[in-house]
Amino acid sequence: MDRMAPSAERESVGKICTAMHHAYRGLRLFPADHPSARQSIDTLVNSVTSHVENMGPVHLQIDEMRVLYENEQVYSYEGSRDNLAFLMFRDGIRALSFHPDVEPWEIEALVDALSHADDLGDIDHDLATTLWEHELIHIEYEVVDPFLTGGRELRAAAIEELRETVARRLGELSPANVAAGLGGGGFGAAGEGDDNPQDGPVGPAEEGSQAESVALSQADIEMIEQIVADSSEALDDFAVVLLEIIGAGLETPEGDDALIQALSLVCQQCMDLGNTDGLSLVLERLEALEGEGRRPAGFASGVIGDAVTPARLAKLIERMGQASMQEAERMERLLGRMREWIYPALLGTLVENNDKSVRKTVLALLHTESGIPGQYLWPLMHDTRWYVVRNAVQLARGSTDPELPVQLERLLRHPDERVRREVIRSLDVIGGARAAPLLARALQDEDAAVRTLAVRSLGRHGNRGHFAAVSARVETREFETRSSEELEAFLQAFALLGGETTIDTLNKMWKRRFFGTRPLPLRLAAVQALGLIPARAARDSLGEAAKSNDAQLQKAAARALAQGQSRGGEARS
Amino acid sequence: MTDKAEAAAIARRGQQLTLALASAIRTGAYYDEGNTVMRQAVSSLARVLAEASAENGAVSVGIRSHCVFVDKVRVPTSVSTYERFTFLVQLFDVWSITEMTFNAGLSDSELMSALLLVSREQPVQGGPGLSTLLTTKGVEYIVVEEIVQAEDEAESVGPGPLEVSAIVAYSAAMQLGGELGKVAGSIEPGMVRRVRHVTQAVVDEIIRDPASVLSLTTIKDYDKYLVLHSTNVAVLSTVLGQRLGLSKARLGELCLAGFLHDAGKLGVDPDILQKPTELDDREWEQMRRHPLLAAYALLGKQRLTASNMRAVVVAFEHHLNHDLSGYPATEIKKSVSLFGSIVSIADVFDALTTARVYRDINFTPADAMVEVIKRSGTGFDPVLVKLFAQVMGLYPPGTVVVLTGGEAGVVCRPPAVGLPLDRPKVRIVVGEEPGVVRDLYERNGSGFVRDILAVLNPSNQGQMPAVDPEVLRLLN
Repeated sequence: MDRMAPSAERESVGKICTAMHHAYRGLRLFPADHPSARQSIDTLVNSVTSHVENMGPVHLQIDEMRVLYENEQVYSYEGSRDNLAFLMFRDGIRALSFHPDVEPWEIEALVDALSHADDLGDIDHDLATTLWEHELIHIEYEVVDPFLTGGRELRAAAIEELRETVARRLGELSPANVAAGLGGGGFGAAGEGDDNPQDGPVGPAEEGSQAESVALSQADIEMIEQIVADSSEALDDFAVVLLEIIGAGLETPEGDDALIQALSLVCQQCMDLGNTDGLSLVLERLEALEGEGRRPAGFASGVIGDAVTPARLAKLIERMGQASMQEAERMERLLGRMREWIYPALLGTLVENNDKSVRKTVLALLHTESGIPGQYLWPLMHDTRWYVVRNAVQLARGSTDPELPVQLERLLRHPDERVRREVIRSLDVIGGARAAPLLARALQDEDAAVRTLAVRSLGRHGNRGHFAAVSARVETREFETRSSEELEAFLQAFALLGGETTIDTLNKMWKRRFFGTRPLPLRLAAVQALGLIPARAARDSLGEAAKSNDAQLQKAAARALAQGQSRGGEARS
Repeated sequence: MTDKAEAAAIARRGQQLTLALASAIRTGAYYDEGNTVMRQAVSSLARVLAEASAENGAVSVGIRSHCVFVDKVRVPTSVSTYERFTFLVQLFDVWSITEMTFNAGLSDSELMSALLLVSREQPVQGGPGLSTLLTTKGVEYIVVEEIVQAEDEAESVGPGPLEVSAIVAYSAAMQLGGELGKVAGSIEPGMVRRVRHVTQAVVDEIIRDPASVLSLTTIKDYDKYLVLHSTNVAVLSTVLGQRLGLSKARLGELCLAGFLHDAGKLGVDPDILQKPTELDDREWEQMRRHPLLAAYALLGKQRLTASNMRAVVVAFEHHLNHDLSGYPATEIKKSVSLFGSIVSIADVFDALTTARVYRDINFTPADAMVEVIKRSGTGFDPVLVKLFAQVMGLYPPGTVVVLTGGEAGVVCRPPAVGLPLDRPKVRIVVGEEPGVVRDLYERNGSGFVRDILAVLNPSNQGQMPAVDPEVLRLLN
């Protein structure tokens, strides 16, 4: 007949369960050291210790959705989420007991385990194992298993089988066998090879020497304790084994998926822990195997690419900032080696990370003469954030991808001038026939800096065919109202592209007029531009300007003449 | 929770006290009160106790779940302390006590009386408990907490819960090994979780009484070799790991890794696995793949927890020798991991002690131990070999021996910790008292009552079961 628990006991147990639920919720919502979490844990500890001291141990039965004490319900909770009974039941726990002398840390460990129970599935762990590893002395739990706690028939059958084996085997030992054995050859006779047992039993002399050979010296004991204390992390041994396996060339039905996933995890953990040695080992091995053709191309990028996320990369770079210079340089070199495999992560970090120093490091890693493959950059060039587009354009410099000019042409119409300026700079690097028409188009941009950059670049890469575009801007009425920098740039390009045909126009610009003199910046820019034309007429004009009454003009003209002479000297030589 | 440094200091003090207590009690077994050695042991212990009890006026040494606690703080064990810790655990068990509390003010003379009492006297069933005995000796400053035994427990005969639990855990592991053997390809996550629970139960039993579980590994059945082998390797590895002082969590990982070490054999042709004769070159080539296959099988669908990682490592390494010869061939490995080294010893030992039809002479456990010792340094880590020999003795469980006096039996327990390695316990099979257990350490004046005369290999089966079949019958 089931015992009915006295109401005081039942009520006390109910309070324990309620307190446990609150403590669980507290740890789910707050860090362990948060006052709310601590208070709820303390309440639980008090209720448990008070009960076991006054009323003895607590034995709870765990049902699917409720907890029972002496067959009476003492806890339930709506739904399975946050239901302590369900959490425990799901992981096979069917009973939970608190014994006298239970320590506060044990109770806290229990609640902590419960609060993380839902996370355990992600790592293929379970609540019972977590509790087991905590070594709770005064808290017991029962885990269901067909053989351990149930399945009587199965167990009985298994044990009966063992018994029969034992009885049968021992039956072979009889006085006759013993006598025969002692008489001759019942025990091992000499055999060939290493795998045969030795001749005869071990005599006292041999026993003694064997015992000595296996006696543990103090040095042995110290070595063992050191081995145990230093025993490597599971990850280190695992990483090495994986690296051996990938070189073994064993084909499996599941292919490389499991290996790539596992290796990727190793890389992730190395990065998270700042383990540059581990990461370096992995990289070396991957590079070597791909180089030897023992692993297909793309294997390494699959491993590393999966492992390196923008968040992980950012953390690693932050850690570099705190490490020694040597270590930071080492990490940077490692990242450099991985660069081609982690473009998405690098670019993602550049796009998403707010930390300037992180972005700076990423940019440094990304900049390379050969540029970044366009496939990674085109999506960024469609981003709504101007700086993302700007950075992508910057990084595309040096790329020989034929798609690039197409993208740049589109971006010449980008609403943000900072993007358009970057486009011009990239076009300047591209140069030649691909860039010049686009540069010419940019001369009409509403942003002065864009126009200035474009005309300068056009002066370098354009040809006679682009003179008209420049000339059209120069000859507008509002041209002389532009900034001195823009005036200089335009007139220099005007002179470079137009040559001697521009001398008259430039002369008109710098000379005084009867009615209103042109602004000084324009006059100075015109004089400087004349210095770029390798013609006698231009030199004569400069000579005239050098004798003018305007001191600034004189200086500019003299400088232009001198520069022209030195250019001429260089050309002759 | 105390911080790390404080915790380490507490652990050190606890260890110091435990060792001093164990040493003093053992000294009391050999030396009288007036002896200098005994007096020094007592005063040394008294100093440690005085220091430990200074803050709270008392210090307690307790045993819970075969672990030592000082003032309710667990004292970690290691290979150097294992012997004395085990001694203390067994002593508490003998006296049915869970805790001894030493109060400030305890005199050397009281302490001496108490030590001599526990070391020299034996509890009498139905007689006064230790608490009463101490009082009669005038010991007031030491308080013991005794286990209160229920009436039905006191009267029960037959196997205690200890032996039942070991058998249940072992048979569960055995059944699981059988299920694992039927699985083709990679191991399902749910299966690994079950293996974990069962191996945890095995670890719990090994912590309680390693010898009980060890004896079960001697029940060899040729037909069931593959099923039993994984369980036996798990047990042997864990017993060795326990002696190393590995934590419970690490023992759980080791047991799991040992259990799954041959998972790769799932991918090998069963005809090759079960071939009764020696393998040819082509067949050996297939067999040599199984460590790699095991690693793949364990990688396949498992989350990469620390325990799963170690299982993969062990599966890969268990046929690698200490000098990195063996298989599979390695290119970058510099050493075999600790777990791999442990499991390889266990694997070879269990394989050697399993009778094979194709062997002219099968190994007795004593032969197998010799073989393991022979391979020390090349095949196996030399220090681990020594420790393995300490655990198993020179005549491991399952060795059939003839004793002086004409009796013959099976070694059922290795020598107790700290005793000579050639002095195990033997269950008599042939003699006047079949079933009785002889302790070969039993002394007769200056010598021993019995010696081993010879090792037998009846029917060329090598190893005999070390378990009393009557225990298994009573369970049913």
